[in-house]
Amino acid sequence: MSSASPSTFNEVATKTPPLDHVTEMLCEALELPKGTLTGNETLTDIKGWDSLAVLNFMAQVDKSMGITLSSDKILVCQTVRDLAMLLK
Amino acid sequence: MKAAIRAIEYHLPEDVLSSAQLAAEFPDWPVDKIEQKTGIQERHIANAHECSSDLAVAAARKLFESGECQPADVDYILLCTQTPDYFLPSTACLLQERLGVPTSAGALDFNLGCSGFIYGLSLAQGLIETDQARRVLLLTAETYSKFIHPLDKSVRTIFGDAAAATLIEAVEGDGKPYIGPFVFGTDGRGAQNLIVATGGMRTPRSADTGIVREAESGNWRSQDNLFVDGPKVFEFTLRVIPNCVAGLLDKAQKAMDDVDNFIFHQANQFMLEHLRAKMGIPLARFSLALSRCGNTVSSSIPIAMKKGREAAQIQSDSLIMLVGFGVGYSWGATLVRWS
Repeated sequence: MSSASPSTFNEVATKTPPLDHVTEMLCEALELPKGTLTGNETLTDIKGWDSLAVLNFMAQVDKSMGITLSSDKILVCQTVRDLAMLLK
Repeated sequence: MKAAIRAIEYHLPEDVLSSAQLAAEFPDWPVDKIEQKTGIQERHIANAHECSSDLAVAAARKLFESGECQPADVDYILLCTQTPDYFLPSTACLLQERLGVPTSAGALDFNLGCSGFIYGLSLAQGLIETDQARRVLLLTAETYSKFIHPLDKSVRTIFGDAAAATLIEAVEGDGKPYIGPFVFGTDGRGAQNLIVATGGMRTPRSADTGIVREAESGNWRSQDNLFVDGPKVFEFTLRVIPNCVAGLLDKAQKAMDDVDNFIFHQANQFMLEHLRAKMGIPLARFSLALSRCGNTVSSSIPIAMKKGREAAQIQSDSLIMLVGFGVGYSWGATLVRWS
């Protein structure tokens, strides 16, 4: 995985991300310092997890992995691990 | 004969809703952060007595005052609005009378939102190039603010009211197209994700539909208000717009580098910037023109074109890509040269 922004999203890798990549993208989406989340959290317990955060997370995943996530599928996720499962 | 864009003018209502006002109303709402994300500092809001027709009249009068054409020269009015003055008659008929356009002119309303300007150009080109009209006045006018609940900060932050008047006329061609080709798209499965659900024949407004309830993230609205499912609309744009742009380039036999200016519907900066980066469009060739007016629905593209021309970002004979997308879902894209 790479934290550098590709010039276009076509250049991104599409392999399944490990949990720490998901937490990294989630921290970015929620504007939390890197490493704040462990991956064991329940989403509703995370301050700032709202529709704007969902948008930001979708943008992060699209940018980083070239995957367009379904917002419906994100909204049924209860935990950070559930989010990671979406990216398998 | 070929159809070409001759002139664009726009009008914003006088009343302004600034981010500072929103911050005062919603102390817990991180307005600075939202402003940074949306790219919107202020929106103009129609007053209680100001309708879409009033905004359209003001925009059209600016066009006439510019000397580009006179009301007597117009032989067709196309009005794109989702906030008409009445169910019937068509607001375009009222505009014919108010603007002093000859009674020999055709006039019709069409109901589209953020894709409306593209479809309006397509209709105007069709009318002109089949010799049904010579000067089409394409008006786009919206007062979405009238649909928005005052406590729904999510959409109040985004939308502004506006109208634009675009003159499309018949010209002798120079061999190159002035407007076109076009690509279109429609997906009614997204209808419920950007909707005012009541007030039509399916669900008339009633005491029940007017009950205001708390929705997501502390926003309040009733069924009579505008509802936008932000994540779903974002997902739609990610899935559709890159393909729409590629499809247009393919149809026109052009490459990204052939296009001088990209003007997308000015939805919000977050979405635009993401799409721009996703498609690798250079910032210098990509319009952002919503900081002082917000998302003005079908007027956002002509406003951005006019601002781009005024700022000399759009040169005479520039090849401009226009991309509209939103409520419906409906989308469309075209290439224009505005000489």
